[in-house]
Amino acid sequence: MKKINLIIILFAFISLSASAELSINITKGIDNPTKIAVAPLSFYGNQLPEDTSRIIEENLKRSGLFDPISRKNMLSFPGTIKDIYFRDWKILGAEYLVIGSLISSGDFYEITYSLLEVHSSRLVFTKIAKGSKRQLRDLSHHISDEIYEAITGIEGAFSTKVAYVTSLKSNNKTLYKLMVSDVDGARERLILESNHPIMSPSWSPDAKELVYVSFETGRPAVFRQNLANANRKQLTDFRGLNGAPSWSPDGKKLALVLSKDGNPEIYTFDLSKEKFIRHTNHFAIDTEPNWAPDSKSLVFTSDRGGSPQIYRLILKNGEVQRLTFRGSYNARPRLASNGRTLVMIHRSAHQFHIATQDLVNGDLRILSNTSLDESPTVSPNSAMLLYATKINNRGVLAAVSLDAGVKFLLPSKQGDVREPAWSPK
Amino acid sequence: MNILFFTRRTSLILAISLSLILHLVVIYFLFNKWDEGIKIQKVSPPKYLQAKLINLDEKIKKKIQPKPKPKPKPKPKPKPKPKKNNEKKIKHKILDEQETKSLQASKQLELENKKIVSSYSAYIIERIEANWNRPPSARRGMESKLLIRLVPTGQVISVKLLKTSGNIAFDRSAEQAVYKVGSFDKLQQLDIQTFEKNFRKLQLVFKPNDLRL
Repeated sequence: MKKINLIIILFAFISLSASAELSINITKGIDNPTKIAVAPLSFYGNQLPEDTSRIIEENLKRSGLFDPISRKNMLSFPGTIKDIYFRDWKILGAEYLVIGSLISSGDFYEITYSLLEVHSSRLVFTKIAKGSKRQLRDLSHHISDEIYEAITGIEGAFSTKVAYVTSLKSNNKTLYKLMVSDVDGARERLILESNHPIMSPSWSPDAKELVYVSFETGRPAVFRQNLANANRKQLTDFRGLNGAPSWSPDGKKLALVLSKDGNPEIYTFDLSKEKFIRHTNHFAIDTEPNWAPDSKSLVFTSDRGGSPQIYRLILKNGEVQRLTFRGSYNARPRLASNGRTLVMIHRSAHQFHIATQDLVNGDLRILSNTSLDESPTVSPNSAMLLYATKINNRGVLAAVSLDAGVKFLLPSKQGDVREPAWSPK
Repeated sequence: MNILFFTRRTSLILAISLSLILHLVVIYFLFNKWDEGIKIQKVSPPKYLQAKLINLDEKIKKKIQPKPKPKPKPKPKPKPKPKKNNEKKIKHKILDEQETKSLQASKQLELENKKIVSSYSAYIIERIEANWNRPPSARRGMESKLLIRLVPTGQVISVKLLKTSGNIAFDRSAEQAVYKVGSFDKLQQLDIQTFEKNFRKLQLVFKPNDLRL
């Protein structure tokens, strides 16, 4: 009996002391870019071919979620954790600090890097990245990805690539080039050069191949090309439209538009069986197919309702649902890898803008403030998108974050740049 | 005899009622003035005088009605020790007047105390919200709970994650917000009892309701 009493009293005491703490609810916050300091790598020996810390800094800055602290304001360049004076970094307003050191043996590099919280003086992680001299840029992007993910909770997309088409006019001739570069615009590589238009590049899910439309045979045809060995193969040669190929996320099929049977319809092409299947049958124009992340449905543009709108096609049963209802023009759909955000061209007030529609709650948001925007492509982490636009009558690429918080133009290159395609992870 | 008895009786009643009225008048004035006196006292020196009065009262109340929760707040620090010893004695000394009086006063003090606590809580919320930089992966419905410990200078001496939101970046952003504030300087203005009672240990619940998603 006594024991029970004691237990009851104890219980009462515990529950009392637990509820005694004042509980305060925090329901709002600010969403400013995170202040981060990326200290230059410490290393012995020759100058590095790339300034890795600078690449990391610029990657983070370009994501719009970070506000890096200028290197010239740094009071020290610590290479190891024990060299850090957190007060110095606090004074600079840094919330996070990245330090690293590099050891080289011949053409082989090993970078040990750490991410630290400045205000609590805590270590978030220490990791090692290894690679050859030629991969120094890849290592920088990889480190950027790791830092980005630890702080934002979203997978980084700095190690990905972009394919795009450039066109340059000279002597009444236009030269078209299919290019691939890092997302920061560096390491541009020529994939295909032609006097005839090149259009609609789309990545294979392993990011090793591209499909695109080329007019080199005199009429549009879909080609498949391996990036490593430049092997290419023509996949279609039909009369009329052969266009807008889109590689399925499971890698097995292409979705494309063919008008061989009269008017533009959506087809899929089985890459192993080399077989076409027609999926739409409507007198209206059906075009611009793009895959849902599960490879089970497609989104596409159709004017079957009187104006161009976006529809979803369930492949299993051929069922078609209309997705967009606002405005008289919605086209060029791209589904983000989250399967929820639909990116498209939306016309409002006679201007074409990039817009997103949340497929769950129906929210429509216009992301771009330029006009004549086209060809949106979403980053594999669904955080950013690239699109083509016109600035001073020149085609350039622009980027915007999906919450419209960050906008920037990509470093301009020669001629017009169009039709960007962001590679998968 | 009868008449005599009657007159004697009436005079007695008269005398008694007169004295009663007089007493009542005295008591009435006494009460009124007393109350005013209390109010004046309350305005200038906020806690100490009253706290003592209440203390007696509290123990009485505790014994009589088991409602311990709202009471503890106004308890001043120097009292707790004599409490136990005095309790029994005091119990016998209950005076109705005193009880009601001090009950009123304690209620008022309790209210005042609540106001103080809520205004300083609002200050804490304001400081943290101004420093809480949520990651883009933060979503409505996420909730992290922290236990923080403060010292009377307002300085944060420890931050502990009690309940994770499931998103490490979100939890980290909450902890970072507290570390970034570093010190809730205004808490220095609090008297030590109120601080000890309410702000030495604090639970912070981070639960955004202003996010788009």
